[in-house]
Amino acid sequence: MEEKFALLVDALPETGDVSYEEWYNTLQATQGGRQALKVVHQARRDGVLEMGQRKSGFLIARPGQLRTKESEVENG
Amino acid sequence: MANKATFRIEDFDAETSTMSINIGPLTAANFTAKRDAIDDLKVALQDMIAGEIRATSISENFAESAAAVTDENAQRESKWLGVLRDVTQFFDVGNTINNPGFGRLFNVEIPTALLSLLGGNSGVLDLAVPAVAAFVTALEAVANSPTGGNEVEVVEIRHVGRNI
Repeated sequence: MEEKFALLVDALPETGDVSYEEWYNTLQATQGGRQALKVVHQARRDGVLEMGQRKSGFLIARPGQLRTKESEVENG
Repeated sequence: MANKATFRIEDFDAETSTMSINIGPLTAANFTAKRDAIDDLKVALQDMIAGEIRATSISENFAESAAAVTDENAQRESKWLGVLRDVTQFFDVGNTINNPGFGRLFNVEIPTALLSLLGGNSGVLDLAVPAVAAFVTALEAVANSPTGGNEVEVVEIRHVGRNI
């Protein structure tokens, strides 16, 4: 993984997803994090992380860790 | 709003005009039948006109919000200008067929820009801001380039004024 994406991924949980807003605010709180956020969409395009709109909000996760839309429906 | 089928017709001096009809509800179950009926109509239409049918389109309209607009800053002259780039370099797996549109930029305009999303004394949006990031992700998931339906990426989104 490219070094410029490291901070973005380090702030994500190993398993499962997290609210984008919560993750964004964590990174915004540090100078390095604010810089790293500039390449967030490039990181997503490169498959370093995943983002998705779900019923529970806008989520972000490591690859393969984003909850599926089907599971959201099952859980009501 | 009704769903429509539209035929784009070109005349002798290359001017275009359209014919539109309402086509009723579209569902997964009746889509193929509707499309075939519209195709039949297109064939019959061609014998009725002297021009040429250049394109046929089917559009489905979804009713959305019925709420009143409460923000006086919601003006169609105030827009976000999204700059998108075609990011498909080759059309085939073996990378032998170049995409002539690769790297080309094109625009999408979004009316009634919510200017409170701007920050940092800039007229350009920070694409990492939550509301903007959600939009960019959703847009890149579905938007295609005008050249060959290729994937696109958002380069920037800035505020612009437009005369309507």
